[in-house]
Amino acid sequence: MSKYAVSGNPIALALCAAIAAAAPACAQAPAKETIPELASTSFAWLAFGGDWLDPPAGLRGPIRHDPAYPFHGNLDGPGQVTVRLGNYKDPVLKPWAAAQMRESNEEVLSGKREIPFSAQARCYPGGVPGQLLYPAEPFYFIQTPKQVWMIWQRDHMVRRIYLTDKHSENVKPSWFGESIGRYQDGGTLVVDTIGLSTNNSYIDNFRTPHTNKLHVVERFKLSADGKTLEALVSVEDPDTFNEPLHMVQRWRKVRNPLLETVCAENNGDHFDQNLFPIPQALQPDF
Amino acid sequence: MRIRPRAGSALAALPALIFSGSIYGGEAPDLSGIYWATRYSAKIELVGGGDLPLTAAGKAVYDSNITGLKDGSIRDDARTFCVPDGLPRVLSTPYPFEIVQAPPGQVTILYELNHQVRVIRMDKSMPDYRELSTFPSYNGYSIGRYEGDTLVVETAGFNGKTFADATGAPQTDGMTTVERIRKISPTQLEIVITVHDPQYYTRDWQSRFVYSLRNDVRIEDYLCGEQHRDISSVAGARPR
Repeated sequence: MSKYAVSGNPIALALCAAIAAAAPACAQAPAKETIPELASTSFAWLAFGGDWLDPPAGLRGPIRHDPAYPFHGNLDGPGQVTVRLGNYKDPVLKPWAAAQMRESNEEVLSGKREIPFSAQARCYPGGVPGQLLYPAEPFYFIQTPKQVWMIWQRDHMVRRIYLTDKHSENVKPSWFGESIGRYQDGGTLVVDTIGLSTNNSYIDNFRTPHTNKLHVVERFKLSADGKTLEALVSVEDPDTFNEPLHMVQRWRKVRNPLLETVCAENNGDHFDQNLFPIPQALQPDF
Repeated sequence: MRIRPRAGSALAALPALIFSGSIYGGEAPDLSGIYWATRYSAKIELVGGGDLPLTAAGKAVYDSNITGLKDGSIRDDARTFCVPDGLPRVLSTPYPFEIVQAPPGQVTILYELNHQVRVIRMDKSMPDYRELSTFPSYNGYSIGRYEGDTLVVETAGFNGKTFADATGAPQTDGMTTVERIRKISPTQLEIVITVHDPQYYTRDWQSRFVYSLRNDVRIEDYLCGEQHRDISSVAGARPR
């Protein structure tokens, strides 16, 4: 467990500094909450897979595949790998969201687009919580007393979590929104996110959409042995879902140094699959 | 772990000692924060002035880059597909970036431009040529150490796909760089980079960049082709 204090209270720090002259152990004194050790130069976190796991019993779970088109992924053993077609008939979906998902499915079934939009395959940010579903390369934390960073090796996507007590008054919508966080319940990092833009932003790999009312709460917690990280993710969006959804992702600790992986390299549509174009600037910014 | 400011009274310095620990092999200067340039130059400016000391091979490639960038036969991937800029070009960014002296054993530099991340390993030595050339990268492999008030960063293992600046100044995958990063005032950061690339340059050359501490801004998401932050405050950055 890390030793620094959550408190940014300058008075507490000054007091501690004064006392520390007599008792060096005071460096740990202002700690109000256990801080899980998520950040290191020697380990990172690799996701179990690209789909949400079920939440604890009693909670409404994630959107699943269309029952008529069961999903078969690379990790699902022998058999033809399929693309993900979401269950647009799930009664939790508002009509507009169901219609959009159905349209996306039909685009694939009709052959118009062989592989549907996938943020991380096409070099787009996965948004919140969608970015948590990136399975092929690990992600890394940086923790300081005032902030937490999440860095995905894949295309060096970065989320910033400010350890303040409330959201800004005016949040400009963005891919990763505004995340504020705190440590609580004996070492759980709780992250509250709003301000998420909606264009090409989905809460899962079934292309389940959301509106700008999306509110995401993620609870990151280490297993007792410290080798597994789990997030219980709750999303509410009254304009998209009839009730909040609860979903789980898990990562295992891996000993990987952070490398540079650039998504836009060698990512053309080599097999004429009408892939979604990768981000491109027609005019340079400066 | 954030290193606390060491300026001020001895009392204020005490937590810095406690918090920094021994991992940095001494007291680390506090370089953490968000920084933003106030001016931009498409053409790299040398310490001491003058032109890039190109070799004949370097001049031929530079001429071809200038022509190609103009007629479109050479694409500037850093501005078109937002691949990392590489060194020293990333230092000229007109967008803010942040330095985080964490996790212990690492300094992390995160740029708003192209959401680039540079990892400076404070607890490693430079891998040998075979390893570096197996996994070359745009921003290279960086190791760092503190020398007094300065963070010294050595970088090698570049992929040779980058330009030294926006005009197409050439570089090879054999380039190595040394950056000296320090605060020159409580609100100003200086980076002086020395570029060693003997195939294209007759001698090592240096360029200097100064940034303002801007902890009043937050680094924003950046996706190629989208509308980004207003950079009109940065002199010389082409207005949108």
